[in-house]
Amino acid sequence: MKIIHCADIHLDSALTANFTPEQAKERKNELVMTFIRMVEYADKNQVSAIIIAGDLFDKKVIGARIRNTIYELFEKYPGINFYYLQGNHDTSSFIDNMKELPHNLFLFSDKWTKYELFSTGDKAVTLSGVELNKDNSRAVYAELVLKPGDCNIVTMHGQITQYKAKDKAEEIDLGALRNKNISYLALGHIHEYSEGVLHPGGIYCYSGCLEGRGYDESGEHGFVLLDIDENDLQLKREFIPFADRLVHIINVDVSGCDSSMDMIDRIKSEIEGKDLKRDLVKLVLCGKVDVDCEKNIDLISRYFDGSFYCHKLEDQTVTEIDYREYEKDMSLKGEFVRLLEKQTELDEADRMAVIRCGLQVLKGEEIEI
Amino acid sequence: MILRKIHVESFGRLKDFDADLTEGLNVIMHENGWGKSTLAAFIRVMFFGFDNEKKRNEIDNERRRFSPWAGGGAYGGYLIFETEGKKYRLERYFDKNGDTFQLYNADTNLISADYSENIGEELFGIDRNSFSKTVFVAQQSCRTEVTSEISAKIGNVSEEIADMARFEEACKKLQDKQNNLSPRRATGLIKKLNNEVAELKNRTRLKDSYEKSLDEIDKALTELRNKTREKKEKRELLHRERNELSSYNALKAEKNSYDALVEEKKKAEKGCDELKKALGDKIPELKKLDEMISLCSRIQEMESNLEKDRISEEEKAEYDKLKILFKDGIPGEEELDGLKSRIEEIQKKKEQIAESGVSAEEKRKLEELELKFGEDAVESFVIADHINAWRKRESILNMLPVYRANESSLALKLRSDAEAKQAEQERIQKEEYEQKRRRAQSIIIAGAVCMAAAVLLYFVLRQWLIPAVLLLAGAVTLIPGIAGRRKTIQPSPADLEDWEASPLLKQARDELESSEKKAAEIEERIAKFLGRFGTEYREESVQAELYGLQRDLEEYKQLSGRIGGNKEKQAAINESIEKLSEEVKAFAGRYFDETEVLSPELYYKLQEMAQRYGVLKEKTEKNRSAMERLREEQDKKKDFLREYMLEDKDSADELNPVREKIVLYESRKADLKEREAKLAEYEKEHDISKLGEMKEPEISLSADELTEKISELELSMDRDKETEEGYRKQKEEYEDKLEEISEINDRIRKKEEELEKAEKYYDVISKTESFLREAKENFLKHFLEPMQSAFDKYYTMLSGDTEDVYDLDVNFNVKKRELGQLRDPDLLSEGYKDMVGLCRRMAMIDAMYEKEAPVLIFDDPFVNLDDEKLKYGIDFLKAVGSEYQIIYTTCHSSRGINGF
Repeated sequence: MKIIHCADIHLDSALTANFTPEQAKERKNELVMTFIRMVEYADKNQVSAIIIAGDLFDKKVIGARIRNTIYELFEKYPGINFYYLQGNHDTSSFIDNMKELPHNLFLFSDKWTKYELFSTGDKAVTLSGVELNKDNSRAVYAELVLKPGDCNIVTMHGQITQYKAKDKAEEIDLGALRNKNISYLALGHIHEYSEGVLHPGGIYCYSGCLEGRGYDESGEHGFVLLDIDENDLQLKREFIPFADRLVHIINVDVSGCDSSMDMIDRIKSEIEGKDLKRDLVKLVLCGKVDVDCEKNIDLISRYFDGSFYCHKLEDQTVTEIDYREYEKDMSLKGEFVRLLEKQTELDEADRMAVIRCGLQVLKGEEIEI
Repeated sequence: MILRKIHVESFGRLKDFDADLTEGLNVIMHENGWGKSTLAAFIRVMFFGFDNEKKRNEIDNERRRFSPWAGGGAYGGYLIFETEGKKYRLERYFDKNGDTFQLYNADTNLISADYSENIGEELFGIDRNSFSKTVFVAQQSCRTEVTSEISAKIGNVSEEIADMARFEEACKKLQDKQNNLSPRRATGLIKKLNNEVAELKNRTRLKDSYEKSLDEIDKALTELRNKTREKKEKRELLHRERNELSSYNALKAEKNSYDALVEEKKKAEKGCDELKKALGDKIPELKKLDEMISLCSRIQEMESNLEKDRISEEEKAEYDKLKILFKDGIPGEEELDGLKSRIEEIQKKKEQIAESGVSAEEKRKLEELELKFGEDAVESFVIADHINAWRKRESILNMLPVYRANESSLALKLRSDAEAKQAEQERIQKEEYEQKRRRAQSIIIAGAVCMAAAVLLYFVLRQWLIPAVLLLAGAVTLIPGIAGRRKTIQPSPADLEDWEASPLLKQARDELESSEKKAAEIEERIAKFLGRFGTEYREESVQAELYGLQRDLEEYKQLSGRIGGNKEKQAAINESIEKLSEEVKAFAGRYFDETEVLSPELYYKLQEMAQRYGVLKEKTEKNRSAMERLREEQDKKKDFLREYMLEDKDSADELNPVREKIVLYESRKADLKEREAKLAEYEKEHDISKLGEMKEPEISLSADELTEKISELELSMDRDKETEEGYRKQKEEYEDKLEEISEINDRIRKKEEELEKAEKYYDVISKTESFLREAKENFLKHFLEPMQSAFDKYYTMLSGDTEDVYDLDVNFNVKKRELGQLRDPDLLSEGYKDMVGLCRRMAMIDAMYEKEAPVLIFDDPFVNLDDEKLKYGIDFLKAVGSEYQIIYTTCHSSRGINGF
C-alpha cells in the first residue's frame, strides 16, 4: 500500500511579507494548487492514504472559498483516506465549520487515536496520532502502546528535542518515543525535509512543506511517499520534490568591489546559466567591502527586477576600514576616522555605518548606509 | 610668491601706472584720492576677477566701479610674479564684449597653462572671500572672519580643502536627514511611523477581547457539539431500537404472510384432492363434457320432438289408406284447380237454370246485351287477353321514344365517323397526286433540256452523233414523263362509307321497327275486336271500352243465366254441364265413388285428402329420419359416458353437477398452482431461514413511542442547531475582526520594520553628525595652539602689550579676557579692533601658508591707530616684511615708513 506523508501546507497564508499583494494572491492560489496536484498524484499512483501532519492551514480564520475547495477535494477522491492531524497553526475553524465530515476524513485529538490502515493475517499497518497541547505534552508518551511486528506509523506536529519537553506544545520528546515499536514517525512543523533514526529500527521524518513561502524556506520541497509491502509490511520511503516554485538563497561575495556596478557584475556572473525566472531568489551580498566603496543596495536590487518571480537583496557585507590610512591624514576626514576608531564601545557595524555616512557626506555624496 | 611688477593699463582712476616691487615691504604712499585702494583692488581683481558682477549698485559692482575714469587705454593690466621658481606675467583685460585672461611665462613670453583663469584660488588655495579676509587688508577693514575655506586652509596641510569646506554642507545634509527622519517633528518619518504604529496598534487593542470571546464561543460550541453528539448517539440508539422493532415486526409480518401462503396452498391442495377423489381417476376435459352436455340436451330435445311428432295409430291407418288412394300420385294443383273450376261452373250453370224470374229492366238489359254478345259469344278471358294486350301496347309505346333516340344518336355518330374517314382518304389521295405530278414535270423538263441541247450541239458541232445520243436520251426521258403526267389523274371525291349498314344501327332500327309493328298489330287486333261489338276504335277510350265490355259480358252472363234464355240456351247449358260433369267424373272417379263425384265438397275433400296425405307423408319421413339421428347421438353419448365411467349419468341435468365439479376442480387446481407459485416466489425473495430464527427484541417501548422520542430529540437537536448557528455567526464575526486585526498586525510588523530601519538610520545620521562635529573641533584644536601663539606674538608686536589677554576658540574667534570673562572684540575701540583683526589675520596666514607665503596687501590699515600704536604698527610692518612680501599703501606721511 502507498501512503503520502505531508505537512505544513499553510493554506490561506497571508504571504504579505515577501510578495506584492498581487503576487501574494497568486502564491496563495499556488499553495492550494500544489496541494490539489498532490492529491491528484495520489489518485494516479494508487495511494490509499494521505497523512497531513499538521498545519494544513495557516491561521485561525480561513476563507470560505478555500475551505470549500479543500472540502470538495476530500469528497472528490473518496478512494483516498485523509488523516488530518491539526498543528499549532491549525486552530482553525475548518473542522468546526463542517456541518458533516467527509467520510474519508479522519481526525485526531489530544488523546492517541489509532487507525488500522491495512491488515494481513495477524499483522497490520496502523496509524496513531495525537495533537499536542500544554496539558498533554508530557503525558502522551507513556500512553502510546503499539504492537510489535505491526508496521506502526505515528504522526505528531512539533519540534523534536532530544531531551524531555517542558510542557511546550510544540516540542516532541524524541527520546520518549524510542522503543515504542514505531516504524515511521511522520512529523510536521519543520518546513525542510529531514529524517533520522528512531531506535530501534524506526525512523523519524519531517516531510517539510509543499511550497516554500518565503526566502527563509529555500531548497527542494515536497512530500514523502511511503510504500509498504503488503506481505512483509516492509516500509520504503522516498522524498518526492513537488514544489511549483523553488526558493533559492544565493550568496554573492562582493569582496573587493568598489561600486554598485561591480557588485551587479558579480551577481550576474553568480546566476549566469541558472534558470531562475520562475523562482524566488534571495541574493545575499557577503564578503568585505571597503568603507569608501560606493554601494547602492536599492539600485542593485532594482537592476534584477524581472529576472526572477521575485527577489530580495540582503546586504551582509562587512565594511572594512584601514585605520592606518587615516593616521596621518591631516584633514577633517582623517580626524573623523581617527575619532571613530577610538569609539570601541560602539557596535562594529554601527561604527562602520557612521564612518561610511561621515565619509559620504564629506565627499558630498548621497548617504547610503 | 613674490609680486615683481604691477602694470595698470587703465583701472578706475589709475591709468598707465607701473610699479616694480621688491621682496619684503613695498610702500606706496600717495595723497588721498590717488587710487591706492584701487591699486589694491586691481591686484585682487587680477588674481580673482570681479566680485558682485550681478549687482547693479555701482559701489557694489566692482566692474563698473573700477571701469576707467579717463578715456583711452584698455580696461585692465598685468602683474609679473614669481612662484615655485617660475616667473609669470598675468594679464587681464575687461571688455563688454568679453574679458581676456592670459598667463605668460615671463622669461620666455610664451603662454603658460600652469594656472587657469581661476588662478587666485589655485595659487593661494582660497577663494576671493577668504583672500579678502586674510592677505588683502582693505582700508578700514582690518577685522576679519573665518570662512570654512580659511579653516580648511589653516588645517589642510595637503592643500585639499574639500572635506573641511564641505563641513557645513555635510552637517546641513545630516541635519536635513535627521529632520526628515526626526522622531520629534510632526513631519519626521520616525514620528509619522510611530504615530501610524500607535494608531494601528490602537485598532488591535480589542484582539484579546475577541480571542477571549472566540474561546468562549468555542467552549460553548464544543459543549453544544458534545450535547449534540450525545443526542445523536441517543437518537441512533432509538433509531436502532425502532429499526430492530420494525425489523422484528416486518419479519413477523413476513412470517404471517408466509404462513398464510403455506396455509392457503394446503387448503387448495385439499380442495383439489377432494374433488379429484369425487371425480374419479379419469376426468373428462371440460370442453368435451360441455359437448356431451349439449349432446344430452340435444338428445332430450330430439326425444321430446319425436314424442311430440309421434305418428298415432289413426294417423298411420289414415296414411296407409291415403297411400293406397294416392298410389298413382297426388293430384296436382292445376288438376285440382281445374276440378274446382269445373265443379263451380257446373254449379253456376245449374244455378242459371234454376233461376228463371227476372225484372223488365233486366230483360231490357239482357236484350241489349244479347245484341252485343248473343251472336258472337265471347268468353271473359278473351276480353281480359285484350286488356292485357292493350297494356302491353302502352308499354311498347312508352319505350318507342327511347328506341328512336338511340337509333338517331347512333346514326349521327356513325355518319360523322364515316365523314371523317372520307375526308382523311381524300387528303391522302390529294398528296399522292401532287407528288406524281411534280415527278412527271421534272422528267419532262429534263427530256426537253436534253433535246434542246442536242439541237444546239448539232448546230454548233455540225456533227450528228453526240446530238443524236442526246436527242435520244431526251426522247427517252420525255416520253415516260409525258405518259406519267397523263396517267396522273385528278383524284375523285372518296366514297362515303356505308354507315347505314352498321349492324348496331340495324339492330336498333329493327328493334324500333319491331316495336312499332307490334304496337300497330295490337292496335289493329284491338280495333278489330272492338269492331265485333260495334265499338269504334279510339285510342283514348280503348281501355275504358275493354273494361266496359268485360262488365257488360258479366252482366249478360248473369242475366242470360237467370232468364234461361230460351231452351236452346238451356240445352246448351245442360250440355255444358254434362260435359263438365263427365270431365269431373273422369278425374274424380279415380278417388271417389261415383255418387260422391259431383258433390260440390268433392274438390275440398280431395284437396284436403291430398294435403293430409302430404302432411302425413312428410311427418312419417321426418319421424323416421329423426329417429335415425337420435340413435346416432345416443350412441355417441353412451361411448362418452362409458369412457369416463359416467354410465349412471344420462341427462344434461345429471352431467351438469359433474361439470360444475370439474369447473370447480379446474379452478381449484389453478388456484393451487397460483398459490404454489406465490409461495415459491415468496421463498425465493425472502430468507425463510430467518423466519424460524427470529426472536422478539427486548424493547420496552413501542415503535410509536420510539418515533415520538426520536421526534422530541430531533426537535431538541434542531434547537441546538439554531443555537449553534447563532454561535457560528458570532464566531464568524469575531473571526472577521481577528482576520482584520491579523492584517493590521502584518501592517504593524512592516511599519515596525520600517521604523526600526528609520531609527537605525536616524541613529547613524545623528551619530555621524555628532562625531563629525567632534572631529572638526578636534581638528581645529590641533591648530589652535600655534595660532594662539602667533596671535599673541603679532599682538605684542603691534600693541607693545606683553600680557596675553586674548583667547582664540576653535573657530578662531578672538575673545578678550577681562575681569574673568571673555568679551567680544567688537566692544573694543576701533584701533584695538583693527589691531586684533590684523593679528588674527596674520595668525591665520601663518597657519595657512606654511610653505610659500603669499603677498600681503595692506591698504592703509593703521588709520585708526594713535601715534603710539602707529609706531608699533610701522615696526610690525617691518617685522612682517622680513617674512612676507607686503604692499603697503598709505596716504599720509605720518603712516609712512622711513627708508621706503
